[in-house]
Amino acid sequence: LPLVNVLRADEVRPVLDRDEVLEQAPAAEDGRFRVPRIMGEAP
Amino acid sequence: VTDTALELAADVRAGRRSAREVVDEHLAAIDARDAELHAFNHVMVDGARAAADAVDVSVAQGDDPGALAGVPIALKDNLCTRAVPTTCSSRILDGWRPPYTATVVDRIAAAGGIPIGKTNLDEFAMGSSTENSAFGPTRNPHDPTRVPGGSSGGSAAAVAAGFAPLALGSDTGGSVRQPAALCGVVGVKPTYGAVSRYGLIAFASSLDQIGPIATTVTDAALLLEIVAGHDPLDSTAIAEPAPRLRDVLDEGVAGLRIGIVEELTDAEGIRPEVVAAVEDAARALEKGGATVDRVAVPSATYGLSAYYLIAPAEASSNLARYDGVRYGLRVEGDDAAAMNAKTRDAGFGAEVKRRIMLGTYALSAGYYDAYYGQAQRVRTLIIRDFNRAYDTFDALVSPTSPTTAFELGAKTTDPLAMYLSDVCTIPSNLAGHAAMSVPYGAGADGLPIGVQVLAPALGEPVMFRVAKVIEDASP
Repeated sequence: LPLVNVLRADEVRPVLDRDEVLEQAPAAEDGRFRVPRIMGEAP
Repeated sequence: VTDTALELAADVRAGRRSAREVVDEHLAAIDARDAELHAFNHVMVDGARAAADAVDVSVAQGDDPGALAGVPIALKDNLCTRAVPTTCSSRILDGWRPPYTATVVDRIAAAGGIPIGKTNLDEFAMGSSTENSAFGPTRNPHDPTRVPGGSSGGSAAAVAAGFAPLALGSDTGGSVRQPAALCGVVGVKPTYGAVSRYGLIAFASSLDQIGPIATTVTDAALLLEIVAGHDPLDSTAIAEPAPRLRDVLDEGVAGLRIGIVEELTDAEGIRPEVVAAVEDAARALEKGGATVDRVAVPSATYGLSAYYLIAPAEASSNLARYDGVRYGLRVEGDDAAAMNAKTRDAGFGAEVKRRIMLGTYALSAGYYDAYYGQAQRVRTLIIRDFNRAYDTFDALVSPTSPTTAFELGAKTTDPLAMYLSDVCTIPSNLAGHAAMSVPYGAGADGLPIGVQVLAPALGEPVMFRVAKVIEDASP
């Protein structure tokens, strides 16, 4: 069976603006999403 | 406002009317009646006027703004519009402003079209009456005591009410075609992959497809030509350019072989007057030189059952993203799991929760093969049976909806009765081929009836030719 990889050129493309994305988050801190405690560690 | 998109765009491009004037006329129509109908969740008053002014500037400079110049277009509120509220008619996305715009909306704007507002839907497109919206139901412009159908009920009602000559909806199991039928307008579910879904908020990814709603077959063709075609941002978008539809619209149906799908026409619960409309439309096709025969698609009978396993399964996965972390609602809890649970409990409505639970169950260990696996095997049979029918027939016809528009509240307490509204439309999503609804006369209640035209994958040109003949013959 002849197989051909479908690849695109490795070029810079537009990405979502980080601040605009974080502005829509319920909570953000230091450029990241802020979430409640996940593991059992002390708060 | 009753001008077609084709007329409006021709006037604006020729400088006979300004885009601003056209937009203001439609905004006035919305202002006059949308408090009653609730087709829109959000009217883009300032954005539409600014876009119209830009079109007028370009006309004044002697440039051609494009095939949709100055045409107001209503967008189902599950299509992302940058910085403009996009809710899916759900509390969980209330207030969200997407950081990007759907490809279809970008293409409309690039062709001079004017997004005029975000239309109401059943929450996350799950429903057949637009009564599952968290922001209240939409009403049918032909009779406000009736539903507009769903889930793209706001888009269909907006076009039927003259709020916009064109709209976009999304069709996962009939959500463009069924409301189009109930509102007396044209609605298209293009071939799976024909239109980019980048920026369409996902419900069931192997079934979802964006499609146009319009007052005429020609207008629907115009909008589909603009939004279809490959998009590098959607890997499921077929690597083909948009089909040329308006060029072939008047070629007629002489020599075409048309099949009436028995399983979707003779089924229990389909009103005799709807069947009569399909048979009358088929006679018009015969008059136009087509040969018409009945055709069996036996497995189509199991479409509804397979769909209500596959679609909820995919939805349960797609809707896992609403976790209170990145966007939308968050209800605080002691830890992340409690926050997730409280957020989803408060943010999702009853039908969405029902489908997430059905889908999660269908995918659970030990049951996966018996439910989801079995449904996928049925889907393969449906594809096979339709392909056999297309060996002998160029296009198929059937009813779109078993009945005309029903009264608000008539089916809200009986999910199964509601699901049956889509019995004729669901098989096309499972098969992935093209399908559309064309208005064809009215029932004894005076409400519109829709005839469905089905065609093989990428068979949009032949489908639109058939639709045009049916439209021209419509009583």
